[in-house]
Amino acid sequence: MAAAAAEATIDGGGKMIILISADGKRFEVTEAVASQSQLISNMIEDDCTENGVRLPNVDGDILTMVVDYCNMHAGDAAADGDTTKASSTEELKKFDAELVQALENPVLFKLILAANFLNIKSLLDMTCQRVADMMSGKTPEQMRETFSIENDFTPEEEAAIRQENAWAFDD
Amino acid sequence: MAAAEVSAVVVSDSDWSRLPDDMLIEVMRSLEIPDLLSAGAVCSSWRPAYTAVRRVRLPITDKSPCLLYSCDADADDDDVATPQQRRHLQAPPTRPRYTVGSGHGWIVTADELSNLQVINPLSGVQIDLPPVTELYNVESFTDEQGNLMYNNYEDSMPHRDDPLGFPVPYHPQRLRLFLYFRVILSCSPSAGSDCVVLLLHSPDGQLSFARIGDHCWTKCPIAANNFGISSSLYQLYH
Repeated sequence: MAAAAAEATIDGGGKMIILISADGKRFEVTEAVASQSQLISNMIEDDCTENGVRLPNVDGDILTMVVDYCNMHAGDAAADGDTTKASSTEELKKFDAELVQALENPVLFKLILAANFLNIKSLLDMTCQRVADMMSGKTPEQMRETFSIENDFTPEEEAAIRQENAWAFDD
Repeated sequence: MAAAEVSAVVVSDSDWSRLPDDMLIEVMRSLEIPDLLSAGAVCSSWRPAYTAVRRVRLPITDKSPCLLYSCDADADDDDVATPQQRRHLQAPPTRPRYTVGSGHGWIVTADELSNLQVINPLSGVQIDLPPVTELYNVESFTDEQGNLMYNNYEDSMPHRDDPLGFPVPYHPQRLRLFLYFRVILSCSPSAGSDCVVLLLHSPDGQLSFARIGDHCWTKCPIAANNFGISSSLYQLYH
């Protein structure tokens, strides 16, 4: 019995936490997985996760991705010096690369908001980098097309912006 | 007991113009400088984040002088420094080059064949100037091993029977150290052929010029008194 309890602890914090998405989907995750979110980690410290945590601005499909991500990365934070980690580092890289590559509007937008809200730094960095990559090498007009943004500058404002950058990109 | 509820502002579906500033700043921090400037011209709601990032990453808002330098720690990149700040640039490969001069936000470098280019270190735009062999006093030849070499007729006191004097041979990457003294840009090279590049080079006090896009250098007919040209150039420039 004692051995089993100890094993559960090693497995990843032992205690389970229930996350509830905006549309009522429930996700049961270990404390180790959930506490990659700084927000939830703080709640665990404050002892207010016993009856589940409702996340009113994260949809079920987005929370599924977040939980998948945290499950994959749980070993990362928890077990340093683990001999099984060497192979999993490769797997993690592959997982991250595939996840980022698959991200498109509007999922990317929602995932950034979720990562920011839940305060998961590595996921936020990764998703913001994806947006930066999508902007790379583009003109303002091409950026507007990529992100479906209206140009709301007046001609005078546009002239002022050009003027502002004239010293570097005199056009 | 009910589940703990975390309150939060709900942002409308996938409207990128309303991506909160925290996250926009995160995105803009990792953009290259030209992309950052483009991002600042996308829409008004991105301006506050852009302004904040720009202030930190590119604290250059006017024509105040900047120092461009590279160091061993970042072999391929350059840093640009103003009196207040130091910023890292993913600059064009200026490091293997010899810097001859700068002006209007551009630098003039000589590559390993001693040919000159103008480079905008922020946008990465690079324009070749006429090759070194188009200077009246430089010619190329191949040595006994078949390597490219240059002859520089750098004697400022011509001999009676040979107006150019005797040539001095140089390795391609060495000539630039002895040939170029100073370079002046009449305006930004982005003005194309309106921009005149004035070059002060050896022999002492000799001037040549070319417009952007020219294929050759034109020798300036100058007065017999060659001395003091470098200081008058300096005053012209200011």
